[in-house]
Amino acid sequence: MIKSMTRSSVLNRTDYRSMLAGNEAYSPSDFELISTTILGSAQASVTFDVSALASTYKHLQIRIAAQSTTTNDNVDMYFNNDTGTNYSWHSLYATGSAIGADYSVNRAGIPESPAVLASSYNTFTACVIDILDPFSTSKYKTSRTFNGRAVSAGYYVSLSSGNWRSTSAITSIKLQGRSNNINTGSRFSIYGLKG
Amino acid sequence: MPTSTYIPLANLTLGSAQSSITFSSISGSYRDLILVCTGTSATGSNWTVRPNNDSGSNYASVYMYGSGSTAGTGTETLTEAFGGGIGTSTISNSIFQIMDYSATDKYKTILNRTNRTDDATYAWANRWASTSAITSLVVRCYNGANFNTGSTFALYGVAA
Repeated sequence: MIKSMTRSSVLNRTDYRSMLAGNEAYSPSDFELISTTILGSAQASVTFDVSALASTYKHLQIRIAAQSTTTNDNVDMYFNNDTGTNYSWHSLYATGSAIGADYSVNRAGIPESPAVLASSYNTFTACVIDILDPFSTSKYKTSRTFNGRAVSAGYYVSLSSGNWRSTSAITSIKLQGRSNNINTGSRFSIYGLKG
Repeated sequence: MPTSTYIPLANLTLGSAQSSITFSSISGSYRDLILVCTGTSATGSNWTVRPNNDSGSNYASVYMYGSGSTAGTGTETLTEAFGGGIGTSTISNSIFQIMDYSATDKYKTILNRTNRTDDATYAWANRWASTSAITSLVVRCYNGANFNTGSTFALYGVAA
């Protein structure tokens, strides 16, 4: 791809064999934005169809800024619409006044994807989720999450890991409010990392 | 069509000690910013960032840390967004994730992970209570100490 032609490359009459002569080489990143959803109205969930990505990407990252509608809530993550108790989860968390750990095994979905506040607090929880080897058919799937928000009504920061006990390649990722809708303005972006 | 992203916007290695770094005229064409810092400081402090050089009382922060012998948590409501500790000899690595930085309809949430092997590992969440788009970032030590020569600062844009 030619980005621009430099004057010297035209006038110096040098024979270049490269179409990029005179231009800085374009090196595409191996980290690519696949899609972004910004909610124009509150809705129960956001789903990413990743069924066509297995041949292109090694890992996935989801970046989120979200809030709930009426009350504080949790966004749970499901793979391939599996709502069975096929997930495990561990968390290290802090609220500013307490630090602790939490876990659950044989649960439905991976929580804190993210942990969200009611819209009345005017604060979006930031969340970065890494899903490692999502398309492998020889291993269970692992996710790691960093999420947090800072407001006096609900300080929270956590590092957590999730596990989906399935060797199926992930074809869809659903992020669903557990009790409430996810509020307008919440943003969900998914990225692929080539390997 | 996928968009190649995680674009390096600026990269700086200090040739001499200085008290702050400013990234200005930040394009609004990305979704998030990622600021990667490594370095030491003249005296021990915390990494901090000020969006648009706002030094008003417009910030809230919560943190947790583990030092190997102690785990702790706390909150701050000060005049900048916080990261973990920076020291005088052992390199500290600190990564700020600034989400939806150019949005004008929401306050900004900034996550931080900091690691320093002679101190602790940290996780922070911050809120900058402004709906202004972030067009500049000032990076500094909370106590105003100089960053030492060799400290590095790299700013990346993640596609919208």
